[in-house]
Amino acid sequence: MTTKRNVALVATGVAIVAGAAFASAAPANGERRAAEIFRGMASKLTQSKTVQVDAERQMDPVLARQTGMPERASLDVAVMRPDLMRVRTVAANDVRVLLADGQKVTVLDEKMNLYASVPLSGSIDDVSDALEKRFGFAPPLGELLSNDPQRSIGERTRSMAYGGETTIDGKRHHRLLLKGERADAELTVSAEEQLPKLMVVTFKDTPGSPKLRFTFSGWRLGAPMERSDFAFDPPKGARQVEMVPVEALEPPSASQEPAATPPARQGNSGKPERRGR
Amino acid sequence: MITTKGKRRKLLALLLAVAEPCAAAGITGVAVLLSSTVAAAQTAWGVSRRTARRTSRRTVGRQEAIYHGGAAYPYIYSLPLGYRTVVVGGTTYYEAEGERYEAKIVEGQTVYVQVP
Repeated sequence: MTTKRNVALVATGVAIVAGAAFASAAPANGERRAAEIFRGMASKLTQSKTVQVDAERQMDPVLARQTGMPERASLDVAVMRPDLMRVRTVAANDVRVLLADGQKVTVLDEKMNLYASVPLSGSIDDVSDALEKRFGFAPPLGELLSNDPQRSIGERTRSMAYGGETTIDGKRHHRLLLKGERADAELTVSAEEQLPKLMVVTFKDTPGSPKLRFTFSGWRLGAPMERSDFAFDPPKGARQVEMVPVEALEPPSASQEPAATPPARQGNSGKPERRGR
Repeated sequence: MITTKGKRRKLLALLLAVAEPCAAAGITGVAVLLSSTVAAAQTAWGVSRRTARRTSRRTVGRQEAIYHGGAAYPYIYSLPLGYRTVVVGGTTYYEAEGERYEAKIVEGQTVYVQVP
């Protein structure tokens, strides 16, 4: 169903673009310019075997409440193509690490010293898709840093336009305006470096149209990295917990049993036992 | 009778037929934009979908919970103040306010599921 919808969206995009290309030069030029800038950015990112970037993430309170995520966080992202990714997210009172080592994905909660690992192999793109589908979340900035951002991002976009130039820290930047089904985004790309500087996403399907903002800094393309940099070594005393599949978050139908392990108090019999209060 | 689906297929075929020669002739845009329309990053879309799911749950008045065997096990995102950690049978639990919780990862976040 999703694939069909994506195909339909792509087809719609072709119709719009094809029509514009022949009917009116001005809109086509704007879209074309935006596409060229994005393509240049994507090409620069994907041509580098390793990518590192720091990002500041800020979201409006309503989003933080709805997602259970902190309003402000600092992200340290490292990618080694095609299959390795590490994201360390530091927020007030919370440090989280996500590691994809090509064979499994691990989420580590440093503060609580617990982690969950699930076997997921393949490229960053495969792992992002599988995580989203099976566990209901995706690596931060996973699509932007994927091996094929044009595919992974393009699938979810209805249209794109060029929003003009802006100056940040005395440097020229391009503004790309993106429209999606549930959210719109403005991506600001450095004219000189061809790398993202800002991204502001507006969730138009949520009351109040809250925003999510990323500010990027310290891009490091081609920095030396080893596969071992992405290996997970549990910290001393860390406890392994379950990563709950997304189907266990909805009430099951009569014929469907969720895959999650129910929480159970351990007793001598190994069965859940009611404890006196 | 031509169905809507059939019309869509014909339109797509026509557009692709137009797009390919345009690209071959160096006319910028059509083929390029086929594959380069953009959106935001994964997090943004991930947040969007997660928000939609949770809004849906709240709209129908359900507490966030893990479901198993027809039973719902509610969870919270942070432990009550003054919780203590206990290990029983090799499993770590957290106790607070007369309740016992077990940690799990739900949608990338640490949650604490109330143990019956």
